[in-house]
Amino acid sequence: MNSNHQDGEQMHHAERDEFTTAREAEEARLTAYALGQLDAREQAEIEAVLAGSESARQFVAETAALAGHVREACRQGPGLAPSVALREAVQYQLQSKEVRNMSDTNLPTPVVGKRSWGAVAAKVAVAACLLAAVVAMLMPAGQMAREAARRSSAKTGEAAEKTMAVEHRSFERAEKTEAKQDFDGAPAFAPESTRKTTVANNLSQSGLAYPLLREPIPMESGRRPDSLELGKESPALDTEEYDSIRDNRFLTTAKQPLSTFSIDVDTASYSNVRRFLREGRLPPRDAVRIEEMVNYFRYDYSPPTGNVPFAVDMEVAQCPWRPENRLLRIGVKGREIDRAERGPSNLVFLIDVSGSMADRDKLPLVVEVMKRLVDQLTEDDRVAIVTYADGTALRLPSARGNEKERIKGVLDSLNAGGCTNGGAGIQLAYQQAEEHFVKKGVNRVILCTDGDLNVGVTRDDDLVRLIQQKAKSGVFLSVLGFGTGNLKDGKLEKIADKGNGVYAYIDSLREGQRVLVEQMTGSLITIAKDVKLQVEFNPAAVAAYRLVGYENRVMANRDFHDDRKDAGEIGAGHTVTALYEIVPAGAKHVGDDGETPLKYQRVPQENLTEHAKSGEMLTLRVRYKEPEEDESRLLEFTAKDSDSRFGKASADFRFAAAVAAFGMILRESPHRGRVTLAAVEEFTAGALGKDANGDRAEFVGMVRAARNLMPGR
Amino acid sequence: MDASGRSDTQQWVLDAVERYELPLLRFAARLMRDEHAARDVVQHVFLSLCGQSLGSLQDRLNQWLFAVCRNKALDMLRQRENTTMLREAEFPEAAAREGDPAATAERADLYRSLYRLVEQLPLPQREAVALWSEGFSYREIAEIGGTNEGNVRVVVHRALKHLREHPAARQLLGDDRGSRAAAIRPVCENRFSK
Repeated sequence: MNSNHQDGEQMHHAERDEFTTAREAEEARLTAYALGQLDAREQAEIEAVLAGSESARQFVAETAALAGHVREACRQGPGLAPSVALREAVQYQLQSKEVRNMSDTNLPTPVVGKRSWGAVAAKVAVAACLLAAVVAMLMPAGQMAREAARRSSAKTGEAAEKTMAVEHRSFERAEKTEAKQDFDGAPAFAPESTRKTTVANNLSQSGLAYPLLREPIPMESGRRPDSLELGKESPALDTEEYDSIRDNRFLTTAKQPLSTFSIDVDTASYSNVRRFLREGRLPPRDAVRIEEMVNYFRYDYSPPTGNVPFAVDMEVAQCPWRPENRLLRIGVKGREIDRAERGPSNLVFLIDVSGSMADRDKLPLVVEVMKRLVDQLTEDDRVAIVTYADGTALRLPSARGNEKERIKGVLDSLNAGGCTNGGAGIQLAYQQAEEHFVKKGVNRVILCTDGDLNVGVTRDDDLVRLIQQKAKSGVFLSVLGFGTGNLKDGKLEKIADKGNGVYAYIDSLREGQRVLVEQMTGSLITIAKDVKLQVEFNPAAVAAYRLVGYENRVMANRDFHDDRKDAGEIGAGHTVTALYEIVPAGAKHVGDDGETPLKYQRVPQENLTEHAKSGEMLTLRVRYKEPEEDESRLLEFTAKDSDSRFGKASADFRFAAAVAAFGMILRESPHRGRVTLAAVEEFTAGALGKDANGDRAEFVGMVRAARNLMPGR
Repeated sequence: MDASGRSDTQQWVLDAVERYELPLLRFAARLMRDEHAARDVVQHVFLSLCGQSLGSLQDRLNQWLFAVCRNKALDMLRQRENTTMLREAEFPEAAAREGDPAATAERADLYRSLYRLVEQLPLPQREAVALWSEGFSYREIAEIGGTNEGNVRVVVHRALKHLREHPAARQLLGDDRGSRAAAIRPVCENRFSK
């Protein structure tokens, strides 16, 4: 083609990218022609050119063909299926709008909800063969409507809820029966639920590699794996164990002005809950530890200035789940330590290679996560690998961090087989750590297991004692839980706690990376140990209070000043958040502990000190020890209530409150008030902050997933 | 209103979901390279749509949806710029539907490679190609992206030019041309040389 461009054409494209050359513009025009994007005038011009140029004709033909392929490739793309969750969200949005618009008419809203959902579900079934709809189609029409209604009852607005209350209640009863009597005892819809479970598993295996977090399978609503499960994932009995948790109660300030607890930086509960929701199941109540869920997220608290290891940031605003109450947020932020600044790491991985670790999400994931960690190590760091199953093996005597290929070679050679017997293993691991102990560095045994720790040496108590003793000598223990079906959650948390370590549950490479690699400094460098918090509430401002979460961490008040009492650690850069729900002084309803009013004494309001009139709401005292010291130090902070509404609170405050509320709903906490999952999602609006990792956005997805599983909540 | 009592003001939203969900999802997935994020974006689009009236959109519905989708996706991309993506997009195993199995499997492979290439294009090119693949004209693409048609022209051209160089594209084009495949390359390279 000749390149004598006419000025008119140049003008025509005057606004184009300044780096475009005349030749490129001409080529682009040919491309546009090939794609049929030119107007009649330009088209005619091009055709004139084409008539005289074989190469231009070929270019056009080829471009058209290529564009066709690109279009086809884009359209085929990764398989994308329509989303039930999306339709539900839209339905919900429309219906809440409709309820608002029609509040003074008598239109039978509930019927609208049921039928329309069924209709949508049927369409979805055709499009995507999603199992909910498949099941719905297998059912008689009436039953289908009921199923649909049950799923969508949460979303059909207030009017709908009332009408369907009866149905809903009978379902709840069924759910309870099921939980108690296990599978055989489950009433009427048990066969469906079996079918659904199987299909769900097929789907998650054949579909996307990643379980569809935002597209949970609307399985049997509200089913919890408290009872035995007959799922494909766990062909044997499900032997996951969780320690039972009873929500902290409201305490009256007049009688118990002090509240003491140990900080907790664990995050395992959140990723474990996420795993359940991804699988389309509700987590068992006791798997939901609210403080671990709240602490999963990073908060933008200011780091400390000066010579203290952490800073404290407090905020008081309206309590979102009970607006007449206040919510106190205590944020603790550990000093940041640069990667360059941190001392060398001396790590010993103690890896469970028993037969049960063979699953894809266990040993292979351990290996992948560790390889990523190895990439981050430097010459000064050390790594050793000890495995345990039938026997114990020192697979890699402590090696330098720059021997990356050798370390990875050992990792690649690990495979699962044999029974668990971790006893000697743990001693061998400690021995490796002690032999290569680095002063001013990180000395840590990292236990990777799916839960079985039939430690030959010991019973649980002895194991804990061993771990405690080693922690005193400066070698801490962290626990990484992997996999499903066999997780001994309570036990793992306990031993990590005793070993001054972190317990994290790793459900994906991303989570492993987060815990071990991205937060390596936080997970591994302890900047203060035995950190205890004690709040003294001012009765002039606070009638009663309740610590949200931290059930396992509550301490006797007298232990606060007792340096022999062990408490939680805080790592570099870590944030720890605690929430108190507060009943303000003067409120009619004080807590919910139903106490009998006293006959012989009055609340001793007249004995208040001068400080009580200061307007302060509370005083927070923090005790901690420097990592190498045995004597604790004390810090003191005060907070006032600024009377702000929830909407005016900081984004971090609102987000933490949303996570806590979500946890309370999942736990079915008696203190959750009337908060719904929809409300939780609203709390997060505008509260996602920077969210560099997308963690908070993912949380919103989890809330949506839970909405499918918990109609009416 | 239909028999269930749903008013027209709502039905059109549901119709829009049925009709546009997958195109929007494809588009968002192309931009975000992350299906979960794309689904969030699409949900945002339709929830925003619930607050609109049909009258105000009418014949511009299509473009409105894609423009909202684009803006939200770019917002989210900006927010998570530094996040590493660990997942690769997955193709359905049986991408092609007809012909002899070996050939269709090979073709599916080629499409897969081509799609990966599209995903690796710079954002503006990715966006333009994705929109074009969904059937938008240059002018519409310009409106959705807040730019001008001349710019779209160049961006699409650059994208195709880049894709053309890839072996998968070569092979696909070769398939079309049968025995002439070998001749294409030199012709292209010398196309505009004097």
